[in-house]
Amino acid sequence: MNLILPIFNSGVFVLDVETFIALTCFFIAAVLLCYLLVTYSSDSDVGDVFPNSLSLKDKIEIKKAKKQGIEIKETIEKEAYETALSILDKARSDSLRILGQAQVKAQGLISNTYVISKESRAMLERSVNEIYEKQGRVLGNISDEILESYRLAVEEGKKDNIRTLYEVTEAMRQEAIQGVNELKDVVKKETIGAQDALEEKITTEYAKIDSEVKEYKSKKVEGLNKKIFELLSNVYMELMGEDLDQIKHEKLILTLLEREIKKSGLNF
Amino acid sequence: MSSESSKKIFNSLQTRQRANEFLRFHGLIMTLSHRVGDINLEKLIRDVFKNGDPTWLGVVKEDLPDLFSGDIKKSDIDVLDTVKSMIENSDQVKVEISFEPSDQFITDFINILEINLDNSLNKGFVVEFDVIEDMDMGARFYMNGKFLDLTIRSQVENYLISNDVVNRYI
Repeated sequence: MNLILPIFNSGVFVLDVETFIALTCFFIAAVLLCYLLVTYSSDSDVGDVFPNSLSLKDKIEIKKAKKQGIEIKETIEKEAYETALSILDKARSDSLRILGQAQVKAQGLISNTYVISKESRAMLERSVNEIYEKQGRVLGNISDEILESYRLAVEEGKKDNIRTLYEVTEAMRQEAIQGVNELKDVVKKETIGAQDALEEKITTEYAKIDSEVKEYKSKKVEGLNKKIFELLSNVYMELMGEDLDQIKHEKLILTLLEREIKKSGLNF
Repeated sequence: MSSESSKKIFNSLQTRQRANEFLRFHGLIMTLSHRVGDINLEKLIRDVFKNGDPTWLGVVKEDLPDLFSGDIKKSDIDVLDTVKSMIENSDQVKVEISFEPSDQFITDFINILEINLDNSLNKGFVVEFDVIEDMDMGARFYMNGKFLDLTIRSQVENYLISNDVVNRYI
């Protein structure tokens, strides 16, 4: 199964204990084997007992024989043993160092491998789960931040909307007021115009009616005069009772003269 | 005596027509006062007043009898001058009427004026009657720029107006 690790984990490989022990034992054995090979090669060269052409199996046989034969030589063995211990200690330290380097190399190799063992898969799943959890937390945090940002943005947007709405409302109000004012002006002009027209019409009608009234009045006065003349005739008849002769006429004039002078208070 | 004669003669005149006749008579006497020889005044008067002797001439004959006998005295002339002066200084009155006024009417007319008008200077009145035949009944009276409408029409109209007859009955 090929898994592509996330980029942020490409440089880190987590070793569990079991893998570490296995790798350590493997390398220790390898180191010891190498050491023995090197050591036995040098002894044979010195005594020419074991020529280089001998196989390893022969050498072991020889060694066993020599071990049986040399048991006597405890001093030599003791020295050899101490030397071996020191060599082992050195090898152990070297092995640790090498293990460290190997671990680093192994981690590099493992990081590049596409075949993942069952344990590694589980570990990887755990890592992935951790990553998921971490990412979940990160995403949660991010979500919180986003939510906060979103909330702030919403708040800001809300404020902007409120401000915009207020501005729009104000603009609409101003426009409405302007419209109302214009309408009012128009209505006022129309009203004034209508009023002027009405006044003019009233004036015209009044002049017409006044002319008709004057005409009617003239006719009425004319009729009135006729009635007055008729009345005068009646008054003549009632006053005089008969036709006025000169004597009565003169007497009437004298009476009128005396009455009018007294009434008017004339002082000539 | 002369003053009374002058007053009497003046009062007999009354009208503008008679006053004019008297002025013509006065002029005649003035011309005769410088004349020498016998004077037949009656004949001269008839020549001046061809329509007959004026009514006032009887008063003159009554108060100035010597004048008609051809003896023109200074005192008589003074009387005539006084009458002339009274005519010239009198209050002139004009009346329009539709008939020829009778003497009684003229006398009564002047009496009314003398009684009702302030005539403290006793200047007397000379009335000019202007006859307008188609005029309404009554008279129109003018004196010193003042006017009184004494026609019957005017009187009736004033009566109708003063009693608001138009609004009350029409």
